[in-house]
Amino acid sequence: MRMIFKMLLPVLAAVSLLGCASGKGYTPSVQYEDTAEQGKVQGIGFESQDLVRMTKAMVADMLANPVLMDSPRPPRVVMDSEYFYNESSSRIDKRMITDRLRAELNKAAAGRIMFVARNYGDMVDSERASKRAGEVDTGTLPMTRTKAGADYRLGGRISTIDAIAPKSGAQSRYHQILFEMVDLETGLIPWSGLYDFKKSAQHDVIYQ
Amino acid sequence: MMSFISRTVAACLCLVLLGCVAGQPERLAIDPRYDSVAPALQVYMERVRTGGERNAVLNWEEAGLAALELGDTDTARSAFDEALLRIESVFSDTEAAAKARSVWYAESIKDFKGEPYERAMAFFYRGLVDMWDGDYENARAMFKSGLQQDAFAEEQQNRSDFALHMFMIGWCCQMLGDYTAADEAYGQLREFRPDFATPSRDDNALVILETGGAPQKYAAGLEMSELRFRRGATQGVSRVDVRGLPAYPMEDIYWQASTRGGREVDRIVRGKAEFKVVQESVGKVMTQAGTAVMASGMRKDARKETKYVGAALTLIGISQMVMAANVDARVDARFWRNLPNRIHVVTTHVPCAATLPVVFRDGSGSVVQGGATTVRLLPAGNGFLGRATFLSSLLYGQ
Repeated sequence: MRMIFKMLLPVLAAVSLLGCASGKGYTPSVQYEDTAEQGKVQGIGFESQDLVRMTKAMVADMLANPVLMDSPRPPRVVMDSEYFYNESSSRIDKRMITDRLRAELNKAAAGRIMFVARNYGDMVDSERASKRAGEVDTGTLPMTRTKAGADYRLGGRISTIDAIAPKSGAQSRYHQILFEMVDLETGLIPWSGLYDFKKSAQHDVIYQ
Repeated sequence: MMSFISRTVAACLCLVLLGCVAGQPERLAIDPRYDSVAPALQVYMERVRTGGERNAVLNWEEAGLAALELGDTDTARSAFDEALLRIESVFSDTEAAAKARSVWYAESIKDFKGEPYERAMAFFYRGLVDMWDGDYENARAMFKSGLQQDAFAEEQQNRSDFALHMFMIGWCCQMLGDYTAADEAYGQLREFRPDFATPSRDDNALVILETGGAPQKYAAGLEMSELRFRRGATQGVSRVDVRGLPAYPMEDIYWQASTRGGREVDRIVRGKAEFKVVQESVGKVMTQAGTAVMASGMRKDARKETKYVGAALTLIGISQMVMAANVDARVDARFWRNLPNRIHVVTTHVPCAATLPVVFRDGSGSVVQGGATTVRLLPAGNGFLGRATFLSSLLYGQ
C-alpha cells in the first residue's frame, strides 16, 4: 500500500500542477475577420463594418445621381477630408472615409467622374516644374497650362447622440454621417447622402 | 497506515494549492519599440508587461501620463490608445467578470477599467495629445467621450459635471473657428463654474497646470467591502499664476472621484460580505453547539449517538467557517496613481511658441518651495498648448 502511494505521489503532484497551468494558456492567436461584419472586439464607436457598409451605400447613391453621372463631360471632383468635419464623440480618421469613398467611386464610375488630387498638389507641382525646366521630358500626355480645376468638392459632417443609463450600464451612440457634393462655382448642392446607425452596449455589472 | 495516507493526501493538497498560488499573471506582449523608451519610462513598461491583461488599462494609463510628463508624446499617444481600446471595448460574461461576481474572489480579479473619473481622465490626456497633433476634431471627440464616462455617476446631481471636459470641448471648438459651438460649450460650463471668464477669441494658447497627487482609493467597512476615497497630497498649493495671470482652478479630481455615488457592483460586494458574516456566525454557533453536545455525549449516562450528533454538528460548523474564511468581499481599490489632485487652466495670446513663467502659491499667496518654474508652449494646430505639473506625476507612479 505504502509503495502504491509513493508511486502515486509524484503523479498526483504533476497532475495538480498541470491542472493549474492549463487553466488559461497563453497562446495568442491572430485571425482574419470579415471587414464588413462585426468583429470580436466590439464597442459603440465607428468600426470597420460601418466604414465598409457606409462607403458602399454612398457610392451606389452617387452613381444613381443624374447630375453627376449624366454630365456630357466627366465632372471633376475633389474628394478629401478638408471640408468633412468630425463633430462626433467618436475618434475617427476622416481620411479613411474619404479615401475609401474616392477609391470605390473612382473604380465604379470607370471614367465617368474624374478626381482631382488636391492632396498630391506638391507632387504635381514638382513634376510640372521639372518638365518645364527641362530636367525631365514631357512624358506621354499633353502638357496643360495649369493644373485641373474642380467642379465639385465633397463636404460633410459626422455627428453623434449619446445616451447612457447609469443604473443598468447601458450605453448607446447614434451616428449620423452627412455627405454633400458642393458645386464649386455656384455653391449649389446637387447631391447629398445620409448614412446613420445606432449601436448600444451593456457593460457587465462589475463595471457599473 | 491511516496517518501515512492522510499525510500523503495533505501533501498533494498542499501541492495543488502551491501550484495555483505560485501562478504568475500572464505577461503582456507589447510592441518592441517600447524597449527603447527613456530609462525613466522603462519601469512603467515593465509594469505593463508583468501586470498582464488584468492591469493593462491601469498600467498603460500610468505609463502614458509619465510619458507625457517627459514630453514623449509618441509613447503617450500609443499608451493611451492601448488603455482606451480596452476601456471602450464591451465584454460581458468573461471568465474574470464571472469570478469577480463570485463569492470566492475579490472584485479586483476583474480586468481594470477604472472608475468614471479615471476613464474620463484617460480620454482627457488622449485629447491633449490630439491637440499637440493639431487634430482638434478628434481631441473634441475625446473630451466628449470623457464627459460621457462621467454620466455613469449614480448621483443625479453629479452626472456629467466634469467642467474640465466642457471647457476643453469649448476650447477645441474655438480653435476650429466654430464659435457658435464654443459658446454653447462655455455656456454649459458656466452652469458649473459661473465665475469662469470665457476665453477671448484672440486667445490662441492654453496652459494646463496640474497640482498635487491622485485621489486614493481604499477598502473599508464590513469585510473591506466599501470603496472609499481620500484626497491625495496637495503640498499646500492652492493657486497658480502664469505670466502674472491667475490660472482658473477648473477641476478637482478628488471631488470627481468621491461624488460618484454608489456603484451597481457595490451591491454584489456587499452581498458577499453579508454572506461571509452570516456563514461565519452560523458556523461559530454550530461549532459551539456541536462541542457542547459532544461534551454531554461523553458523560457516562449519555446515549452513545449523542457524541456522534455533536461531532457532526461541529464538522458542519467548521466547514461553514472554512467556507466563510474563503469568501473574499474586498472591493477593487486599484487606482491611477500619477493623476493630479487639481487641474488649473489659463488661456492667453502669444505670437509664437514661447516659455512662460509659472508660480505655484499657497493659500496666503506665498510661493511654495520649488514653486517658481516655467511652462513651454508647443505648437498645437493653429494655436499653442503647454502643460506643467507641480509634484511630478512620475513621482507618484514609481
